[in-house]
Amino acid sequence: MHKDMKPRIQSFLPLLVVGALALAGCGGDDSSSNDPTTPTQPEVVVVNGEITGSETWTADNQYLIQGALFVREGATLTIQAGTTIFGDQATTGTLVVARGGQLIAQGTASNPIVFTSSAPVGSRARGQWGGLILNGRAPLNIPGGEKEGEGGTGTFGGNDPGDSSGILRYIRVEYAGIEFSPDNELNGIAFQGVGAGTACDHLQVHFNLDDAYEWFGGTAACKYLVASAAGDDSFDWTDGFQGRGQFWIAQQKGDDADNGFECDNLEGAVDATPRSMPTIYNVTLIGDPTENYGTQSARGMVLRRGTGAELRNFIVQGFKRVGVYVDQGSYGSDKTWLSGELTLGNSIITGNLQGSIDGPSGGWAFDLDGGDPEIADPYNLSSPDFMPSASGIARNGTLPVATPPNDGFFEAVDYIGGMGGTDWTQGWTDFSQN
Amino acid sequence: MKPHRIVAAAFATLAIMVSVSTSAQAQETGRIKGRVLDDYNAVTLPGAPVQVVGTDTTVFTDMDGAFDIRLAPGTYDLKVTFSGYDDSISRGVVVTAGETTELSVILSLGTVKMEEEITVTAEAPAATTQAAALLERKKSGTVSDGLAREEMSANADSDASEAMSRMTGVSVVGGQYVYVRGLGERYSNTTLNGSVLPSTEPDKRVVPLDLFPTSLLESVKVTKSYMPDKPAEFSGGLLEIEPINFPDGPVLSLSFGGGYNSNTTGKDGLSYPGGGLDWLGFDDGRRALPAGIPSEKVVPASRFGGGFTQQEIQAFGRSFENIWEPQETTGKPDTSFSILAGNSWDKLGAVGSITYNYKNRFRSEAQQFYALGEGNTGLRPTNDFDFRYSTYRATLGAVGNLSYRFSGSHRLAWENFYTNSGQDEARVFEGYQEDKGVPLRNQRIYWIQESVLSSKLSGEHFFPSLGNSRLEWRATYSRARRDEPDLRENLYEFRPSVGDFEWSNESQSGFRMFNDLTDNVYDGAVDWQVLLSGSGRSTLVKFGGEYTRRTRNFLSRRLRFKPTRIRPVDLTQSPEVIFQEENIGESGDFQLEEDTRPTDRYDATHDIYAGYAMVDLPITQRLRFIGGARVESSQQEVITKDPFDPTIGVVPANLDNTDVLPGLNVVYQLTADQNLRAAFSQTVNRPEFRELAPFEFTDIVGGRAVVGNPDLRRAKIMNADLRWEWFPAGGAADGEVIGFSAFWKDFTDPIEKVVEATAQFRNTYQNAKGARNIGFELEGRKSFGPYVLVGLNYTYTNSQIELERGAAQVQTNLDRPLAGQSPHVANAMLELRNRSQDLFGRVLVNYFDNRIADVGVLGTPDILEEGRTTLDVVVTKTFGTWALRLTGTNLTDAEYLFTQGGQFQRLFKEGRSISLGVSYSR
Repeated sequence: MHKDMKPRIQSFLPLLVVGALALAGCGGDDSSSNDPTTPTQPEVVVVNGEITGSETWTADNQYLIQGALFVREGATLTIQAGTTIFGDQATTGTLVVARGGQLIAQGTASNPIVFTSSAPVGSRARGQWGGLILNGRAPLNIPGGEKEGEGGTGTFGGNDPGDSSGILRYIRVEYAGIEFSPDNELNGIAFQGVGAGTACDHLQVHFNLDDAYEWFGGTAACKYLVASAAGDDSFDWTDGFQGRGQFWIAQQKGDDADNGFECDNLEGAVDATPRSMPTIYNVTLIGDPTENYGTQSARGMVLRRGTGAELRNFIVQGFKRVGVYVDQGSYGSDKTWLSGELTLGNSIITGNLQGSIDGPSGGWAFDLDGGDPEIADPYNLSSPDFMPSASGIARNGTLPVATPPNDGFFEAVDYIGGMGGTDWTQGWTDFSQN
Repeated sequence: MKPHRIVAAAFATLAIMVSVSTSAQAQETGRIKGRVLDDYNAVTLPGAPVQVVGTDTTVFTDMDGAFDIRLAPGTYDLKVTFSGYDDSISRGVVVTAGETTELSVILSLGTVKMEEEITVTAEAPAATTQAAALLERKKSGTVSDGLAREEMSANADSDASEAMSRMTGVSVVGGQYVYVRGLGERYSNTTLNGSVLPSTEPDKRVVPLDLFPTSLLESVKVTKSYMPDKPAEFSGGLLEIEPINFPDGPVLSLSFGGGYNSNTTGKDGLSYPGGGLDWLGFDDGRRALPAGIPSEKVVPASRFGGGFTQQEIQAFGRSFENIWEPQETTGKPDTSFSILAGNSWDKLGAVGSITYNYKNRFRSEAQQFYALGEGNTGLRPTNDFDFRYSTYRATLGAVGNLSYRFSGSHRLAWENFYTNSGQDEARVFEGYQEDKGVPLRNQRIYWIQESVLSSKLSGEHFFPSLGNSRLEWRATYSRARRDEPDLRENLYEFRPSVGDFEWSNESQSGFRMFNDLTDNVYDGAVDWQVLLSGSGRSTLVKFGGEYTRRTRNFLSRRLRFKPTRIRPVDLTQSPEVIFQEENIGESGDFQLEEDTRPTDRYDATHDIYAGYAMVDLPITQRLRFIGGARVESSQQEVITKDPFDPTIGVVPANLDNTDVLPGLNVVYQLTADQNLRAAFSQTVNRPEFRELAPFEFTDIVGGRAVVGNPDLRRAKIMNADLRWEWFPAGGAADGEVIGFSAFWKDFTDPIEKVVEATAQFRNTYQNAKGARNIGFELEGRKSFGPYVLVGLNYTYTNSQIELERGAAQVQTNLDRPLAGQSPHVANAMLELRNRSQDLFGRVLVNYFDNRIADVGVLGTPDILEEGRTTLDVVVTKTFGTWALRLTGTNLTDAEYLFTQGGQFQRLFKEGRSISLGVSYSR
């Protein structure tokens, strides 16, 4: 199909425009078309439309996604470590994995896969392309059990908690989150009904216009996530999310940021079932206490609209408003908070300008501490260091550390927060500011 | 041509026509004009000889069965002898110098009847009187209701939607859309001059009827049972609009009026500096996309080329007019003006009219939104907003028709209709929104200009030698446009830390949108009919074909100013200060950004090829059968594209169908003035373009997004009707009628709006499992002595739709009445008159019962529009050729109240209106 050269693209790079359908089944053969006389300039492959077979993107090319590119049911997109993919701003480039489609994207710590803006370095900003949308067949709490993705990005939800959308490992998603419809920006990575069979670790969403990560229902289990400079919330869930998480770090940039966590059961019906009830251990949330202009919120965690959750080993530090906010009244999560479906424990809530916890008295919060975990350089935006000092309360054992379930996903730890004595963000993350 | 040039040219043409018509006519002779009709079915009889007894004058009726004889003053007998019919003699027809005597000659089929006296009337031309509309109904093959010009005028209704609200079984929703027998506007079809109209609405098939000023109309008619010679795409009603007719002689009428509205005139409202031609309903270009804005998307330069530098984008941003905020103003009175002139000269007929009206309305409105309470019971309020709307609407319409008669058997007509309406709106709302957790303040200014142009060339040809066959053809081009240039909107959020409202960086803030829609209809039709009267009964056989092509192009562009730095200027200021030139650009605080979406453009076509055959067959002297079948082959295609790159994001959707659609009508004449009718038909309802297109679209910011469904099928509807009607003898002049109708409709695969869960709720469409609609209508119109005329109608409707549960759907009720359907709708009219004093007064009451305004989601109940009664009073006093009219509209000022689960959801009042008009006509 789209074999024509795009006249709009006046490129100084050799452009190879190939429709995704044409690529399907070709495997990684495209590298063979490289002109050996210009080995330093990678090919730019324009991709759009849909992938219906098996396709591989290789590190020796660059890829430009135009419009919404769909990996359809039964299709597989494999991306090699080290591959850079650009999202086109003019056409809202977005990668969508439909239910039953697979994205196999395995970077490495030294060779991550990067999804980024097509703007030149130095003029990159939030919202310059769409982002990554994964649709799966895991359960939701929407009546009927299915939901339509934003902007025609497909149906998601189902009744397979073990569903797999593929493998996501060592990936950066930068400068994404373009507005898809009014008041409806895209998340950096949207897990829409994604199942626990999806392998998901070592991801960074950086400078996204909307939430960095949002889980719409599903059972996804994600480890080693970094959310930096999100224009909205760093981590967000709704629609009956029942997944798991460990080793998450968020850093806010105060020009435009909302909450560290924003957690709902379901907006229109707070008691819809299955209730949002994820289990999350070892999280560090860093606010911007000096300059958080973005909105009224700027809280560490907002727990509301009937959500449940088990939250352990958290550090919530430096938010302009309160550290933990449990919304009350018919709109809130006070019922789950009082009933024990929503618990927070073994955590350090510190340095938040309007206090540690704002919630109904008698809730399920325990083993909390207001001391300083002595994180090395938490507010440095371009080269942060999130490691707490070994002698501080996060690591010195004064505050009991919760032991996560032994289910093959969680790792045993002896510290509070998203990082202990090893900086797992080294090598593959990037904190450039434009 | 510029709009004001068009207006000037049209006025000049009218002036010439008026001056020509006033100098017409020698005064020595008089005229007898009339038509020869078949008593049985009111078919006009062409080629019949009309003999003036005792003279050698014999004229033959023309293709319309019409004759026109000039005679010296005196008293004459006219005799008509026509094969298969009894002879008829009309005795004592008086001819007065300079006057025209009207005469209808009605021929009966060969029976034992003796020569009979024919009534001689000298009323106004037949077609404009309500009596004639009733005669047409009486003799019609279908179940139909009509309103003629004089009746619309007597009710002081200013546009077609108001006029239609008086009709039996009709309710008007939102002031624009006609629901016939509780069926939504999608189940109606509108024709102007016989051709289907294009629509100005992005998501609807029908055109809003408030675009049609009644002063340009001869009649409006609702046909409720289908006949194969008409498009089969309706179930509720076919709304037929006829522009003003050709006059028989010189006519000239003028009217002026002014009005007062209790909410508006002299009251506080909102406004902003618009264009110099806003008062006429045209934007003078001031709201157009600035000339420098490129046709490419305004995005920063990409590393792969394309895009624009920051300096270029700064220049784009500064090229917009810095006007945003509604300002306080004082309401203006309504004004209206119209002129109509026409004449006929031997073979040529001409009529032209221009009408103009200007309406200013202010409105305060409260809105409350709810979600389901804790434990899934009860409702809890989420958002609570207070709105102020100010609208300024100017409508300018024109008709220009020419007709040329080559001979008694051949005639050509060229008819043109144009209407344009420009509505300016300034709106603010303020209130608490749960999601934000703080009060919001929103400002919007919004201009919509809608126009409909229709030009029809038609011919009628009568061939006596070809078995009295008659050929009619028409070629029509119609265009509807909707232009929404430069919608401007800003959102302010209350910040407790600042203690004031601050401009908020949201998608509907600093926002400017440009929408443009063009809908074209090309319609060609040929009808051939033969009147077989040799057998002693006249049988009408009719064949025809029609081709209709509809094309639509839609394009939207969305731009907005976004902050570029952490703490820009003081955001508590007005938008004009925030967006002043030095604040926009590279070194400023804001930069323009284009948010046009990949689905903001679509092109669509719909072709319908149709052919039909039908008969109008006398079975017995009293029993008449009219029926046949129509074949319609329909091909719909919608292609969605990226507005800037037609090769990206191309999403086609198609629907092709061929249907055979029978329509059967039986009329049994119980007595000379009572009919019993039965009708049965199969009709279709096709998806509208937007409903078929698989992309998500939000029309107006803040509205619910809509996504089409490419898997939609067309719906089929079985319709059955029964009607008894009685036209009391001697009551024709007052349009007396008593009627009872019952209807039954069964829908297969009806297309219905449903709500889906996405990040926000959105609407989509599905073929529901089924629906049915039953009900009955009562009507009566009766005069009581010379001073009192009473009219009443009442409709009961009971509908039920059963939706298919789609997985992602979240609407609460799967079984409910059709949205917008009231169980009870009623109209009452009381006319008091004193003819000797030329004084007429009318009291009009309209009532509808509760109806569903929007369906509830996630367990919340449906939103109901509560029933309402409106009261209007019209008093007219004529002084020869002058008339004075006083109109009081909406005199009870009933609340527009919407409720959800018994709690108020929306509330406003329109205010009482009083208007005074002066007219001259001769």
